[in-house]
Amino acid sequence: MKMSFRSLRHGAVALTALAALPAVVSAQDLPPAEEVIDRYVEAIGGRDAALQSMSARTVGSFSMPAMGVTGDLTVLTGEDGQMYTSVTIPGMGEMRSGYTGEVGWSVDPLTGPRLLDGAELDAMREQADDRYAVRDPALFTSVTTVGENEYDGEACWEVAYVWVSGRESSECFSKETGLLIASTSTQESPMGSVDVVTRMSDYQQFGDLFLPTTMRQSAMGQEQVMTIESVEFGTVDASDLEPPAAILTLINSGG
Amino acid sequence: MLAATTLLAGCGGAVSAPADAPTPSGTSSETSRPISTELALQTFDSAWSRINASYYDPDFRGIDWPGIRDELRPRAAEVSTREELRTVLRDMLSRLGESHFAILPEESVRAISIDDDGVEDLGDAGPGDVGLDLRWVDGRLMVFKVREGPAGDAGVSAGWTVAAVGEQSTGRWEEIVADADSERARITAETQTVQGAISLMTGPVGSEVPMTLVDGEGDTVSVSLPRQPVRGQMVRFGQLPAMASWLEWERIPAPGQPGACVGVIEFNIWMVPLVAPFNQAVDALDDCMGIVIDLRGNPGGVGGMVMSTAGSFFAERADLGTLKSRAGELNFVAMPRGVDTEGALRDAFDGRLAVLIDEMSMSTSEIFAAGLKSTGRARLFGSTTPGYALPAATLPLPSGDVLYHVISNLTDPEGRRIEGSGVAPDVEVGVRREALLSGVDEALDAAIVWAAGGGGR
Repeated sequence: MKMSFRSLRHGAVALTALAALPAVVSAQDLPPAEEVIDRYVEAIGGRDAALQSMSARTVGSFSMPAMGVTGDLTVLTGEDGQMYTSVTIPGMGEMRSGYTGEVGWSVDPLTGPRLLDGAELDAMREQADDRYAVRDPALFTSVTTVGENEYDGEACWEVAYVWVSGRESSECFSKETGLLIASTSTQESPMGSVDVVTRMSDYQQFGDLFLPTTMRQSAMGQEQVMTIESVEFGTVDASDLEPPAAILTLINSGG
Repeated sequence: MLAATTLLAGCGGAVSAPADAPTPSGTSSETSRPISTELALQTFDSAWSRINASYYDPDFRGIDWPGIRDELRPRAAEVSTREELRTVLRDMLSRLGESHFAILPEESVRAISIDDDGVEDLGDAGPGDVGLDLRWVDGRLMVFKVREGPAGDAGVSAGWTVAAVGEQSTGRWEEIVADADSERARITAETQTVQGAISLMTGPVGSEVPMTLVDGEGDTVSVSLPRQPVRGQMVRFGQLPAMASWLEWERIPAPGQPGACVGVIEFNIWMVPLVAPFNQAVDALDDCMGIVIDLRGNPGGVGGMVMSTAGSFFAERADLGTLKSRAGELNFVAMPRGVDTEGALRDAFDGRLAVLIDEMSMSTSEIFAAGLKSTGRARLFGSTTPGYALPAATLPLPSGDVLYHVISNLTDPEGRRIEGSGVAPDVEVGVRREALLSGVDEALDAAIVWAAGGGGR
């Protein structure tokens, strides 16, 4: 199934700049990145489960606790790399974004309908790639364990990525469980770059996969929390993934 | 989406006055609920710590922030009521000397019934007002506009001076304005006293506001105006108080241009549910020679809204201002709106664009005006704004109140700070009593003439 982290992380984890400096550990004490990633893939259900192709409908909530903002979150993923994310917040309206397999797009009340380009599109395209579920080496020019770190009291191995597009990111995998517990990134947008730290927790079993249900994302001094309540597999129709009319207009006009 | 939600950090108009504003007394409905010393100190420490961690300048512009804690925390330990604690907290906030710091009482931020659009039906529990806009003209507080409502029904007209609102004589406010020792101080005093008058005119629906006015003939007129529900929908966003929001637009004949039109769009606050009506208005006015956006009296709102709103008037992205926090920088960017409200491709409106501002145009209104002025896309008419423009966020406090606090500095596209300096119009058009009494809005008229092709580009 194509659930992996793609559906849960889209909108939550953009890609990344290198993390805060990890603790100094001599290189010979660090496990190879391949080993850390293999253990992670096993921890979430194994390579076959992670790479299964099946659509998924993820439903949950989105909140910005300090602002008193709470809304509904829906993430749809298709079998061919499509994504559709919707967050609805009272007083703010609906914020939607997605990827058709070729085109990345976004519609929200503050920036209007737009097609993504540049680094923003690179990030969406690369995250939508099935192979990301298992951190396939073909997606990166470099994957290196750079040290150990700690999030919420849990020690983890920090793995740094340089993507084929040139972007950089890092992820931290629990020493104890092998699960991904945090990532750091830089999200690109027309408004500029935002450094993001995302912490994943509360893993639960969905189908064949063991996935985080809470993602706390810190950016620009504010925290956003995404909580997953349910995941259904194989219930997403192609029409569910179709971009809004305004986006189709832009696509059909050539952007 | 992340950046967009980050930019939700509001520029809340309704709470934008500095804590040391010379506001009138008697506006609080808060009763003296008791508070324990432990809870008072928890609340004080929470507010101080949040600002300590998030204020955009880690050096606090040279202000001794730890020293302020050391001075005021003992006072917080001695309070016995929530209102007394608020006084201490507001004293703390005032030491920073900037807008967008406030303590929002628990009862003002508690949603009652809110729908998915953020619209709250408060029914009779909602606020009421009397339908008057006030401004200072030649040192006197004056009726600037009479909107549909009790004041108009009672025969009150623009150009009448205000002698008293309730038991509050305007004489003391006149002294404050007269004593201002600089142009900036005068604008600040005028802005804050108008806010004070507005707060006195606002209250429970059905209650009455005694007012003493002087008409155009110099005769004193005493009226008692029943407050009616405020105009527009009550919209709530996050922990900010519910705020009335409305937008209206009209197409008027372009002066000296037979068959041509100028559009005028006015809205009272920057709340996201107004994005769609704004876009619809622009689309409907697309054939006009020019558009005038009237932001006089608009106190701000959600800062990020400037991006989509300005986007109607730009073919390419354009920088409207920069937010700088400890965590980094983001830009307000005009996002060209390539699709109209019917879903068809649209070109940016390329006619003339005028923006009306005055001393009651604050926060997001100032960001919008400054951005369009800096880019050369709009010509500003009216008078200088007060300079209350800092992005802010909220934090629920242990007491139940909400801390509203600055999180970023903000500069216009030319690197100028709007906070404390305001936005000056390209064309200064002051308010004259004679014009008001004769029903003429001179700033609006000047903007319309220019938007219709008059004057220089």
